[in-house]
Amino acid sequence: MLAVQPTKCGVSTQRSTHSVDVKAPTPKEQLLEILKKKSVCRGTFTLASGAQSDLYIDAKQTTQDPRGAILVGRVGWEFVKRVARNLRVRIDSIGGLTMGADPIASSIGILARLEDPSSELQTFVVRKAPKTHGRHKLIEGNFSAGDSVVIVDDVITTGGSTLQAIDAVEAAGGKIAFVIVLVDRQEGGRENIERRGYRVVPIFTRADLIGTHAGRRSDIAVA
Amino acid sequence: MPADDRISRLLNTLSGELSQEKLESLSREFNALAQDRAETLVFFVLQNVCQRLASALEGEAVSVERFEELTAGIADQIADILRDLEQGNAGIAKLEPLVTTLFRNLVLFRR
Repeated sequence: MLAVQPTKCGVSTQRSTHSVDVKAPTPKEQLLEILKKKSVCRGTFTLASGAQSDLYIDAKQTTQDPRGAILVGRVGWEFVKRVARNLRVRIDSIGGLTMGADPIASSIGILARLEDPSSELQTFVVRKAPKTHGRHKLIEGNFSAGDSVVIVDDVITTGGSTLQAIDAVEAAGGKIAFVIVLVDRQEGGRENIERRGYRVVPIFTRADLIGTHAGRRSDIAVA
Repeated sequence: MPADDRISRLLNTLSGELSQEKLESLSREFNALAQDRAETLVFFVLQNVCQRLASALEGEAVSVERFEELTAGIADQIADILRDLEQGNAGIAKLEPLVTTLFRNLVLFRR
């Protein structure tokens, strides 16, 4: 049993002395604990979209944490494999809008390769704006026209940054297989993306992080 | 310079609240205008102002008060310059006060 006490930034998760854990936490449970401890900030914030919120999720505190990065890779790769299998789609590469997506895509790519040395999964980065010099590239890394890709993002609120990455990939000739997001804030972003016809799979939701049920929960369990 | 409906659209965008995503979008638009129109310097400065503000906000847990401090006066001054451009005036004299506001706001934001 975990007693969760919200603080201004981070949620302390102290183990109760009145019960005994009977099994080791899964990678997804471990990742959730790091997110709660390092990435959850409470207060009144202005989000990137301009909306105001009582919750700010600084996902980079988790995705740039070495242990967090390994767990993001393990859990994320399990999600990618499972969803790709369910949808019967091939995945060539994985990436999203810099900079929230960068460590997530890299972690998943590395863990995929570690698990299966024959894995051909590649990763890429989508710039927010084209380079002002050179070939004005918007996508950097391992992406080619015709690739079937997974778009990743760290947090979705309105879905704006995810849709920006989707638009860039499609404009460059890529095909979107599905979208994986580390945290869905449950503020309409998932619906905005799905309205465009893309499947969105959140690893965690706002409800998982702070225990309020503002909308749909993450709908795929990964041990 | 003929009327440019992109400036009308930008004025429309500026009429609402600013946000990081809106500043990034404005920055992209000003960058394109700097290369398309004769008033290169004006749009170059406007692009830089929006990009610097967006960069300051990126990846930060920004309280409502700090957000308002960072963006205070910016939208009004940019809109004023765009209205001048719509009327055929370059508005160069208004760039310096805008940049002064930018740096003042950034200093307050970083304290």
